[in-house]
Amino acid sequence: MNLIRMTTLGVLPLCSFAGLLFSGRAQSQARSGADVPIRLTSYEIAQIELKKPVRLRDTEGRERTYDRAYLVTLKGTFPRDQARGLELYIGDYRVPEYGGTPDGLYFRIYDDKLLPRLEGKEFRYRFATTEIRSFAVRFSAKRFRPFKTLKER
Amino acid sequence: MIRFPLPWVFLGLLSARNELSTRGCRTAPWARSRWSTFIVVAMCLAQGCGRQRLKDPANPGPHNVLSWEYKPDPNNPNDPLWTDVSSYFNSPDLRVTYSMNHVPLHGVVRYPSGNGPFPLVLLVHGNHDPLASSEQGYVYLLDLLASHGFIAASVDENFLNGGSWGEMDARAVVLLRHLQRWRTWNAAANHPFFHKVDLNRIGLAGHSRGGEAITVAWLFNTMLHDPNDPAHDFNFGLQSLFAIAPVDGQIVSDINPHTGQSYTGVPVVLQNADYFVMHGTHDGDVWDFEGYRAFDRAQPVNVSGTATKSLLWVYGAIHNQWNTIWGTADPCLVQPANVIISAADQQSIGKAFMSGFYQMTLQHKNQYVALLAGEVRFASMPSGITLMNQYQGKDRVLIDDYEETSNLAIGSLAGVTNANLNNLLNPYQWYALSDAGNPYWLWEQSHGLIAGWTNSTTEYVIAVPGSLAPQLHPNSFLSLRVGQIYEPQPSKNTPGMSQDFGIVLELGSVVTPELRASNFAALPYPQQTSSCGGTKSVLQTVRFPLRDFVAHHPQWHLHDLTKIRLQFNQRVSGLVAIDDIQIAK
Repeated sequence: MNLIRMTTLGVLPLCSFAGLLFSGRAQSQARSGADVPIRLTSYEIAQIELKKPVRLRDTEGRERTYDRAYLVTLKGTFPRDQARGLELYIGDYRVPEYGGTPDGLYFRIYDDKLLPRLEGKEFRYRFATTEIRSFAVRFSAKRFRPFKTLKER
Repeated sequence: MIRFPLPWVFLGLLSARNELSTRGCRTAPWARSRWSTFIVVAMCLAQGCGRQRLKDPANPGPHNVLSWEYKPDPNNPNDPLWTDVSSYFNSPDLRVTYSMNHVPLHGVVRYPSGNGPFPLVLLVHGNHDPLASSEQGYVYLLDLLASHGFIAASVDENFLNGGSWGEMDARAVVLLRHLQRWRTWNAAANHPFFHKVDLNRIGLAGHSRGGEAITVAWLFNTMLHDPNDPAHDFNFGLQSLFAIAPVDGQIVSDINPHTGQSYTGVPVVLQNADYFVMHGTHDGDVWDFEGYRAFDRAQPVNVSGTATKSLLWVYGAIHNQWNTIWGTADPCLVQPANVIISAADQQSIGKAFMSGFYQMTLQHKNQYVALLAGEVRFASMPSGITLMNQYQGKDRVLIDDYEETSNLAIGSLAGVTNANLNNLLNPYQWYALSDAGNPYWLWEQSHGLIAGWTNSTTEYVIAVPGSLAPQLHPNSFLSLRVGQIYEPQPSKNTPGMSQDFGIVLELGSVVTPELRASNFAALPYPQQTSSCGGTKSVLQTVRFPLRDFVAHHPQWHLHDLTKIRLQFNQRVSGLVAIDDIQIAK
């Protein structure tokens, strides 16, 4: 069987932990659908046990199998149900895909080596401009250890 | 039909053929004498008036229309109408109940009665509420296409909708998986569609994110094709792509699961498939007219022409009204809102152009070039709505496309030189037509000429080499894209007024009469918009029939052409963008 291979994510430069910065208020510098400002108000990181192992190909082309992942859930207001979408970044790392939730969005990180690389980096976004803007919220996996463990639905 | 004796018809042909072949019985200024009028009327009666010969493509066609729908059996996990796209996208909106390794191949179909084989057109929606049945919003197009002899299916990709990102590759793969089913059914002796599908004549249409998905599907059709992998055995005969208010470039963010890298060849540069982009001035979702960039990249100048491309810019059209269930409001309300056209009018325009496009490209009814080039309007197309058209045929020789050099003195075709006569054109500027705002409000992905004048003796003179002679047939056109530039503080252009200019040809020592652009196409003032994005200066293709330059002068020969002179003498002043000056068939 030609196993479908997924990727992990782009190669990121190593970054040092810059300290936790969490803010309940984020910059809203663009409008989403229905003239709603784009805003990140909070986020959570949990670990999920996957229903089935996932085989992924990283940027070096190496294949790895994962039976668990890190689920990052963002709460806020983001564009949804429309053509134009928001590109989401943590530092310079572009989140390759995400899905909507009732009050925000979520994405997965499979490679646990990525977590320390993202530690302390700002959540950023690009929507409707060429400029990447900051949410003024920093990513910290350490803050959520020990991770809550969920089962994938 | 009353037939007139051949000599009368012949005289009429000599003087009226071009005017009547696509324009119906409109009487040109030179035909206002009684004698000329008689010839024109005789021509009409003998040959049939043009509009009667070119049928309105928005009217139902001759075929009886039948309905069908396909979707997987929810109780049979092995039904081949389930498919796995999880390697391409695995983060569905939480409103979606399907797992991405088990998504349905569901299509709503309209098809003509009869044995066929018929061309196949798949339409796909874009991003919207995943709980809405977006595929139902194009049934009005399916019905029309089926009546004209197409199998037309609207494809359900609602499971990829919502607050999603990174799913563009999955949208394309789902389309190709649908085509795999159609290929299977066409080959299955016990299937209702056995041998009814012409798999060499396949069209794709897409709206919004679906509009980019169809070009990505075209790319993946060969890039990801693997005859040894049932999930990727593609290589279909994709001939024609119709994009409704598409996005452009979302595929750049996606990761190819087979390599772990970004996809190569993106954003897509379409070649070898006819392409059409339709968009509205008041699109309040894709308000940056992204499809214009995809149009500009298509059929690149450095590749011999193998397919056509067309563009339609609709004053007052919004994003969501192309789909009958997406409502009448966009995420952003483009101002002035009082010029937004009705959903019915917008859909009438869409019907005419989609039907005409596929009849031309998949049924070889080449007379619909006149529709795509904006040279004919039909009764179904609401009057009073400004439409701007761009068209490039596959047989073209580019004289000036402004891509090879910023030196305006040098043309694109070897031996062509350009001159700003007496330096009267000001500005006279080689420019990237992509400023998306001040100063010129162009939203393209192309280079062109910015030309302004305040003197009626202003001319842009193009000297052409003798090597162009073989292309200069009476049936050919001198074609160019030209459009008024929006000026926030009106200066050279007058708000609300169309622009105009003339062209003469120098055929050796002969200077032909001037033909005016306004005889062939209008150059309307840009629709000023605000709130989302901003005004767009959009170009219009103007096609000057070469035969009209030498009409009544059989001793003049087009192959003696030495110069093309654009004379800006019809308006006191003006500021225009010009691109893609070419000889076209």
